[in-house]
Amino acid sequence: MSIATLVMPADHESLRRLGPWLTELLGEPLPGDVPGLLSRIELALHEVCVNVVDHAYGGGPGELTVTGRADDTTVELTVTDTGCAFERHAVVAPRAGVPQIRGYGLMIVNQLVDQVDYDRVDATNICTLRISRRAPDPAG
Amino acid sequence: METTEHMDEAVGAATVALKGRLDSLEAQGLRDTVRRLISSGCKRMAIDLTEVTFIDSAGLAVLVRTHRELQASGGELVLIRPSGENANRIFQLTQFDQIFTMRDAAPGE
Repeated sequence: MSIATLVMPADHESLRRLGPWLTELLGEPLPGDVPGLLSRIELALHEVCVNVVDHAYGGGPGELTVTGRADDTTVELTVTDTGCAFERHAVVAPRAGVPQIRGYGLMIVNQLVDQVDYDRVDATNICTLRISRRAPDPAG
Repeated sequence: METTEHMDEAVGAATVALKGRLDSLEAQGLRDTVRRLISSGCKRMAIDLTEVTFIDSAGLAVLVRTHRELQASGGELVLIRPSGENANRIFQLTQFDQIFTMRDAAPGE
């Protein structure tokens, strides 16, 4: 199992570090990986972190931490911040194909990962993404 | 992100070619570019995403806003598809590939 942690300022420029960090976490692609695994995970993780940058600290300075665990079958990523609580129910979910301006981040995340969990513990937001490296077995 | 633009004021048409990442760091820069072109009389705009390698929801939002503004003034936005699957993914996930006018880059472009 590969485990890594990335601590960075909660700003848009720092989000450029996510791709190289993920590349190192996942290592060489495995024969059974779903196509585009790395780029799918990068987009999902990027969107979660953009949400932190845009909303957690009210435009002020802050920090976010990403912890990743990857084995042959699963990738688990945890994004934490100590900003204001994420009001998930307050997000107006867009409908696919209907051109509203914003609000697509979570919709995109939900389609790219197998599971998204959000918790607020001791004034810390904890968002966990779980992604299977393998495509679902069509035989069930 | 590198941006190259060409405006034909006589016909109100502009082309904006992007290269690199169209993400939350770069979205405002593209927004400023298209607003300036629209203010200069652009009605028909093509944004060439052929060499764009990554698009996030902030980049998508700029494209949606541009599409709306041009449509409202009787104009049109055409997107040239990214050449790579990674940057195309966001259009498929949001089904904007069915909303935007998208075409492939001409051979040799």
